[in-house]
Amino acid sequence: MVALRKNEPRPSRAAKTMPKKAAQQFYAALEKPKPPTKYLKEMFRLYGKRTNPSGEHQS
Amino acid sequence: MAKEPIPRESINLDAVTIKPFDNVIRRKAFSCGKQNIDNFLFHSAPDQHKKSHCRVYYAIHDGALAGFYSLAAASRNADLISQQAIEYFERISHAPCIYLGMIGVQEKWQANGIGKKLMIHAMETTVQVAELVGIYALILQAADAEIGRRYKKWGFEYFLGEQERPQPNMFIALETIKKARAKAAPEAKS
Repeated sequence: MVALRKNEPRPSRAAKTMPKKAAQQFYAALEKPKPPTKYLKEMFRLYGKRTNPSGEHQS
Repeated sequence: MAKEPIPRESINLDAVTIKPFDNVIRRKAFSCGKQNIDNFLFHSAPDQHKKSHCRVYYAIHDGALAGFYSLAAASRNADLISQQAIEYFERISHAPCIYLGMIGVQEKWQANGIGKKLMIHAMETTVQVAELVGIYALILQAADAEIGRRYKKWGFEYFLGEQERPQPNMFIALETIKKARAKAAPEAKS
C-alpha cells in the first residue's frame, strides 16, 4: 500500500482555490497532451510502419 | 585497461526486420556493450517471453540477431509521473503504462538506425495495445543521464523530480505518440 501524503494538497484541490480564470487555464494546460517533438515526428516518418497482429513489421 | 572499440559495420536498414522472440535465432553472439542488457537476453528473455511476463521483439539482419527490446504492462503511482497523470488518475491513483524494459543493438551494427527502428516499433506496439487496454504512457528507466538526454529528444519526459537522478524514470504520453504517428503517416491513423 502506498501511504497518502495527507498534508500535501493535490494540484486539482489547489486549482479549486484559484480564481476562476486561472483555474481554467490550469486545467486547459493539463488536458493538452504534450506536442510531439520534431525528432519524434521525423522518426515516425522514417521508421513508422504498421505492424501486423503477430508483431512483424510490414514494409 | 580500456576496452578496444568494436569496429562498426554499415548495413542496409531496409533489410532489417522486426519480429517476436524466436528461440531458433542464436543469442550467444549478441553483445550490445551493456552487460545487464546482454544478461537479460541470455538468461531471462526466453522464459519471460514464453510465460508472457514480457514480450521480446527481435531485429533480424541477414538471419542474425541485430537488436531486441522487451515490453511489459506496468502501473506507476500517478503522483510519481506527472501533474497530468495526477489529474487523470486522481481516483485510482495509479496510471496504466507499458514498460520498455530493455532495448539493445548489436555493438558492431550500432549507429545504423536499428535502435530507432526498434523504438518506433515499441511505440507502434504500445498504440496497438492501447486499442484493447487503457494505457496512459510508455515508460522506461534510462541506463544513465546521457541516455536520458537522448530519450528527451524523442519526447520522453522525466518523472516528477527525477531529472537529476543517475537512472531517471521517464515517460511519453500515449497521446503524444499517437499525434506524432498520425502526423507522420496519415494512412496509419487508428
